[in-house]
Amino acid sequence: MPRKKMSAPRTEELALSELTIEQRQTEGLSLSTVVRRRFFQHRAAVTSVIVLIAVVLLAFTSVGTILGGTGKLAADTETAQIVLDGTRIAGWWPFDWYHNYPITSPGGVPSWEHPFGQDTLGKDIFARVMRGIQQSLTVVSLIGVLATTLGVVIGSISGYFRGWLDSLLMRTTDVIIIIPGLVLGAVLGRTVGGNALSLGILLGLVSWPGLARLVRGEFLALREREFVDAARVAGASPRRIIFSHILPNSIGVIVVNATLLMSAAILTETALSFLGFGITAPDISLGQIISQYNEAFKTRPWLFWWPGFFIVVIALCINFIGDGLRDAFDPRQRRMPKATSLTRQFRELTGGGN
Amino acid sequence: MSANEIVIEARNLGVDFWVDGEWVTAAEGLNYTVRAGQVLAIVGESGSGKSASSMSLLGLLPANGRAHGEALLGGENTLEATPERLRQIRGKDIAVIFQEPMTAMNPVYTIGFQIVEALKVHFPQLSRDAAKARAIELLGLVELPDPEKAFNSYPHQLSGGQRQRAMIAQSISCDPKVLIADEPTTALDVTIQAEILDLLRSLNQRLGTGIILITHDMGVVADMADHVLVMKSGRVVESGTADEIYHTPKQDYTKELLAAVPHLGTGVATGKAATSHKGETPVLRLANVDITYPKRGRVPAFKAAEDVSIEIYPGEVLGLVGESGSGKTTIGRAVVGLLPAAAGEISVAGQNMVGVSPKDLRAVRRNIGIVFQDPGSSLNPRWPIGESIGEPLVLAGGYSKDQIEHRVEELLAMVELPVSYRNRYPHELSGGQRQRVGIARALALDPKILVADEPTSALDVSVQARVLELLTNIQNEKKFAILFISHDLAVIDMLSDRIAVMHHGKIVEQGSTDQILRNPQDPYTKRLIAAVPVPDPEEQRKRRRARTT
Repeated sequence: MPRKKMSAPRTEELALSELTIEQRQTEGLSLSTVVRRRFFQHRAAVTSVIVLIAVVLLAFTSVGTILGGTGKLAADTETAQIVLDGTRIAGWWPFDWYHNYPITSPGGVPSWEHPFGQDTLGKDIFARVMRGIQQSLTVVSLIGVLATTLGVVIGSISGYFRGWLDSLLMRTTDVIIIIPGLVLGAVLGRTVGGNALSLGILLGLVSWPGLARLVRGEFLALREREFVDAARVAGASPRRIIFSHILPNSIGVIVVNATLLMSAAILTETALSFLGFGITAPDISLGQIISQYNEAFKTRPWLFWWPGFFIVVIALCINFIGDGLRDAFDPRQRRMPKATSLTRQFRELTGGGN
Repeated sequence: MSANEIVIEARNLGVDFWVDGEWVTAAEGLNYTVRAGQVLAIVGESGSGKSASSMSLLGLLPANGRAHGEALLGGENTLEATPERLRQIRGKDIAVIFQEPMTAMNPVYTIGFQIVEALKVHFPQLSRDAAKARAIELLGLVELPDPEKAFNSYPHQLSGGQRQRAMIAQSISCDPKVLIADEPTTALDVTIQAEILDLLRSLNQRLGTGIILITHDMGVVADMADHVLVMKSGRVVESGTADEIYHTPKQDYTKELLAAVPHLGTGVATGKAATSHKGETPVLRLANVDITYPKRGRVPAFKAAEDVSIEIYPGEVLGLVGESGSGKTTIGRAVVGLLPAAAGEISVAGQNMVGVSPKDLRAVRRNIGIVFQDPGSSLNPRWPIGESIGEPLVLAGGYSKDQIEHRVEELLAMVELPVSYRNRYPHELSGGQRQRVGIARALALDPKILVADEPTSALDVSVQARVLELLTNIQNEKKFAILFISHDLAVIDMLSDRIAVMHHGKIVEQGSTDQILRNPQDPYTKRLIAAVPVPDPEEQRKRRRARTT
């Protein structure tokens, strides 16, 4: 029996009639468009992106930064001034984080000239906090990138291949998981030098086990799904199955945990620096500022407010962005109004009855 | 309870859902009465509002759902009941049997514990011992072979049918006036489905409970229902006594539903089975194949298939039928190379699959496609369907981007989906459409043989009919061979030239479709044939009597 070919609009109409009302409303868009659109609908995430960019720009443009060198203080023989070793890129803020300035207002309270106040030596707190943010962000991004990459690769390999490879990798993970990061950071941070780069790499190399475990769990569940079998039957290599099929489906778990990891990292860095093991003087981190001034808590509280405020802002921003990304990547999620507004709308619909 | 007392009555019952900024009607204008000892069947496709309207009786709608109208339970409108009152009603006055007993029962508690819990909630004065005794009595009532043992078992220790029995025991534990059975047998094998339906029937007569049976299969309810309500897109299309609906259906939709139920002996393939294949090379040949699942920890090695020999010739459809656990899916997976064979020989288009090198395997894979059972899980949820369909082409290599695009469009047209759907994601399609995408992907490389592993068992009967028709049409056109795996003999009958019956890992009977259906030799085949539901009350009654005697 020769099959009757249906005309295109007829097929379209027929296909549409099989869908539920919810399904009809979606139009076929590419994944990146969908993700971008959904992300920009997430108000908290978009606000966080803007705030985070603003913070980064503020921190790097205001006091400038320093590239290369040891970061140690030295006396410039020509100008007879104290300078840092390395290439200094200046910013628009008139003060440095390592110079002492004359105290302009009594007690160093915040003023127009020094909006975040000054400490007893006359150091400008705004400049110090900005430099601290730079260093903390450097550490956080390094940890984020390193730990996520390691965690995802190790987790997916052991989840996908299972067997002896899985046992080997997971026992290694166990070993690393039992080493307290704080102690390791303290011991090694001292020996490899107290700058942001080495601290970030070091912490990144030990923070991946949690993520690896989660990714492995996701992989164990997803590899049993039929679409993985379908790809295998079509002849897909393990590499392709891992990266094109399974990984995109576990992106939610990865993104959320990577952001949690990063917001935890900013706290770890703060804690290490507070204890004096992280970033050491003359360089500055947010935790170190708090630690340095912990005796001035009652007399000059602004020495705490500002670094503390920025720690909270950065950590919150990262978390919200993670939330937004997860929602955006999951094509199945839909927005639902609150139950109360639903009831109200239903009343309106049924004319106040019911 | 007197015999004809009205236990529940729906007056103008309707359900709305809040979807993307507007109220969408899921069901409206339902009017029905259920009397004690009677069965009301609500029949319709998924999305017709049959489950939503029944769950609204219990106040069990999702957060974005609202019910209106009246549902009178002994004169009390349950739609307006307080949450406290609803909790009293649930389980005691209205109980529910769900579709999937594995997910409806809590896996960390024993069956007994869960029944006792239900009893204690509604009868707090009951002592522990009395509750236990009652629970064991109930488990006996649902004809579980060893009630004491079942009491102490966890859900995973029972088989699917036993779990459904335990579920029924739990739901009747408080002598409910109304029992809502939401697709109680959809997840079960045909033979077990028949047993569970028999059980529900006898309980209904013995206990005088009113039953609301929700199903998409007109065959299932044929001998159960006193009244039938046919629903489509939230509206009642037709209602009447079972005799009226089955013998003199007035609406076209009802007739369509009746026609969609696969009947034994109406298959299109009947008659052409006589073709001789002498001299031809089979596209698929299994010779004395054993497949074992290796020992895992303390679980011993398990032989899933033993001494299986089948041959499929070009253009032929072989139906492989058996219950869950019979090893039929194992065979399908071994054929496509997802499982290794422990012994014997599997050859696809002349190429041996046992101990094949990866390079040769790649060549074999061009000749073989597989359609999986669950259309929800067989497509990558993060990929637009166009990409899923094109993947075999990408992996096979040698196709340009344009060629792949063109082929994807061709395949979509072949499975009667609009080309614009290529950018849609699987969750944006209906179940039947997803399965058609699965077929398109399996046929991307024009394989010589298609393995269809229960491709329609997750679909509604009417959707199943459409998918099967499509598959038959494409097969007639392209003339590839099919290994069609199913637990449903009626479906197999529609497509197959030959049938192989599998039981406990062995092929018990093999022959042409006519041979197997008209003159079954093996007792298991006979049982299987007797269990296939027929959308005809008298015929069903006859068959049931034949089963029970």
